[in-house]
Amino acid sequence: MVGGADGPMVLFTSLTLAKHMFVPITVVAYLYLGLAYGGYPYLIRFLIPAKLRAIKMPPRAKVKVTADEKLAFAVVGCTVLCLLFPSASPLLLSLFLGIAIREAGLQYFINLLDGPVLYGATMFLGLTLGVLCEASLILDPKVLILLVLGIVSLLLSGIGGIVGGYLAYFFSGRKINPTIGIAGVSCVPSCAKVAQKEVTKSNPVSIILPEALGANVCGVITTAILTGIYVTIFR
Amino acid sequence: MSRLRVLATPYWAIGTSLAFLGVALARVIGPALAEDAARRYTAAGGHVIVGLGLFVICLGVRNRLRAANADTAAEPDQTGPQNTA
Repeated sequence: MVGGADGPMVLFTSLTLAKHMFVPITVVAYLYLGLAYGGYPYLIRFLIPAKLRAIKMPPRAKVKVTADEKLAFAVVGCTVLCLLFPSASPLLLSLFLGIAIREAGLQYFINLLDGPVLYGATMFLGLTLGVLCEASLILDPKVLILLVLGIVSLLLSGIGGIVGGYLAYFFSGRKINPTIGIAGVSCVPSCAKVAQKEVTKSNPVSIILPEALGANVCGVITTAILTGIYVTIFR
Repeated sequence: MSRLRVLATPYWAIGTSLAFLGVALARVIGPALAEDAARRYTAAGGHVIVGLGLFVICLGVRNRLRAANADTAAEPDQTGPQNTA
């Protein structure tokens, strides 16, 4: 799950499947989320030639997906996925509830989630991890295995994302910039920012950030579904 | 109600029906079958059908956007000079 590069999914999976390893897994996961900024640029440069990184995206459509469509999809998607993977329903509900509240334009709730809930949860997560993180826990040899597995899974995710980017590039008739693929790793918005930064270095007028954020959100939904599958199979 | 017209398309109806049919196969019909290959295939088929249903909805949204953007591109530009004579 660390390869999914998505904090909440790692937290949920480790709490459900390996409660005793919750702290080390979470510490390793968040450590590697920070490393996405440092490592992925090199992976992009290594796997995507500068010529392809410089590709400009096709002009964006003027007519966009309406809020009603997004809201309806959130309702249908959430209901169906919660019924299919009941073990992961709290996670899926949290994800789609956020989308539903934003698209419904409920400003009071948007402000509540954007501010107190988000920052409060982040602060208490850090505090909880700090309190639970004892030296003996971190010096456990198992953590070494976690460190190796984590870096391998993140590397495989990055390579998989870039392969996806290449698929999009070929299937679109060589129009889509393959760098967007790395944003499929759902570390929002770090991977999208890393992708844009690398593209800007090759071609300063090429903007891929909106598409990269789209790939980022798709990565989040996919990681949530994979969490559901993991939890359903292994619990 | 006019805003919800974009949802009244065959894609949404078929996609949603397929998704719920998949859920029924995977969570209701599959577990009711005897513990054999048929049960596993029904459950796996249900998961695939759910994915297919969500894909049909996405396809419908994409087709609507393509049609709407084609209409927008075909509209004459009202801002430019109208009389060139």
